[in-house]
Amino acid sequence: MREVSLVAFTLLSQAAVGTTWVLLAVRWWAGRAGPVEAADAGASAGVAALVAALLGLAASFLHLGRPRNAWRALANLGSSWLSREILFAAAFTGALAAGVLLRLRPGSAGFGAGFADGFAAAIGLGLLWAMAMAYRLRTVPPWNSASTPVAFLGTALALGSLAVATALALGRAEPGTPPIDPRPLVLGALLVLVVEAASARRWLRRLASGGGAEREAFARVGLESRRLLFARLALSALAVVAALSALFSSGAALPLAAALVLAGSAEATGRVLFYEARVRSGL
Amino acid sequence: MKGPFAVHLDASSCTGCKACQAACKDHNDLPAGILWRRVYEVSGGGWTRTGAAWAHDVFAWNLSLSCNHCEQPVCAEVCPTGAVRRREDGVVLLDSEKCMGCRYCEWACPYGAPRFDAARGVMTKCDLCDDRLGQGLVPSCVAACPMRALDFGTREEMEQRYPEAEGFPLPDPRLTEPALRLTPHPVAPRSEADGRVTNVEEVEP
Repeated sequence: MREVSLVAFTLLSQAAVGTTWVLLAVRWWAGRAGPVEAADAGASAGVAALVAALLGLAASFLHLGRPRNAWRALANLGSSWLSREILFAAAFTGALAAGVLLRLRPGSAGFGAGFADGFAAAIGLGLLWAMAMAYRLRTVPPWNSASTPVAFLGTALALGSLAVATALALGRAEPGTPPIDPRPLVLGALLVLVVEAASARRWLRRLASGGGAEREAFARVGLESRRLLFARLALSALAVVAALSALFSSGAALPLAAALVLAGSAEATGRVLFYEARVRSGL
Repeated sequence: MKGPFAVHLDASSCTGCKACQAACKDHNDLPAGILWRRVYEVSGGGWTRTGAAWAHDVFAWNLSLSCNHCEQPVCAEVCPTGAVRRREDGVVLLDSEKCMGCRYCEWACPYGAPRFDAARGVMTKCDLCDDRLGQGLVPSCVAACPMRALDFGTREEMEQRYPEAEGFPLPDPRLTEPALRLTPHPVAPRSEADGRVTNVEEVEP
């Protein structure tokens, strides 16, 4: 499938954006307790977000027929949401890298790093919006609905919450690291997974009752690829079980990591189905 | 003749001989697998039994299509590199040298006009035989049609003479405002409920 690189790009970028948001919130919350906690909270998640964003950008090149012309991708910012998406993706990764690099210097996690984090979070919002608009093509009815931004936002928040929660749980094992309870993040991720499931159900119902392009998309997603659809549901259910298990084990790292891997796999499967639903109006 | 231009297809007289498709391929020296002009075969119907007798309501007709040089070309709108642009005379041109091969225009065009050249890694599309237009000639597909089912002229002239191109399997013309006019085949209205494109493997290789 040609879209594998796009599945990787969108998922990794969205996970990086979500992690940046959640990390910013956690650091703000931890900052109320003291500057040391705010500086160190979930540092490994920040690095992971940067790695994900870089891998996502690298993956995006793999679907290009002539990558050497990729530098021209910003030439149509006036009307192309894809151009804007690429601009935001590059700016987001740059801001993320600046934040991580500033934190690497001992005792430097001050205003500069905080500013870079906040800037990355704001650019990340732009990236997510541009990404959703790039897929909301008026000539591709199955994608042209509110379900697209909801799905992208859901991916970002679910994976971001679980990634930061896992980083916090792992960080607790290190001596001298201030403890931050990851369970509120797990609760948040569970809520997002439920909202995502409801939105996906609504999307499928819309496809089933829509016009020609929507009905063909439903035939592809709901009938031809029903095994993938079941796999997506099963993986999501397993992610919920793992997250609940983490909740009841006081935020243990292992079930959290399992929930993150399972949720990531569920999102990847869902994204493959999303691309399967690409049916244009007309020919 | 000055643009903007439009093409008219009289589907009621098109026999599906594909001379237009072959002429386009020949004039533009297109490689195997790339069709800028395609002839879609639309058919439907079947056999029904009434008592001891069987009756059929089978129908078939052809739809010759290439880029429709839309007034609101979604391909040009979405192309991130600016490789696609609509010229003042309405011709939508794709500069393959600027293309990065993301195939986003292919996703967006409701007529399937932009075609990917895998060997070069770039998109290609009909330029309305720009070289022939410069010589005051009509596009090669129009010149080749033995049934004169294809007609070419200014958009204004075509809009006055022929109806809008709509109905199955075409998209809503309001999406991109194509420079295409269509005289439908008499059985075309039946295609809305019962028709399908039956040569998908040929037109989407």
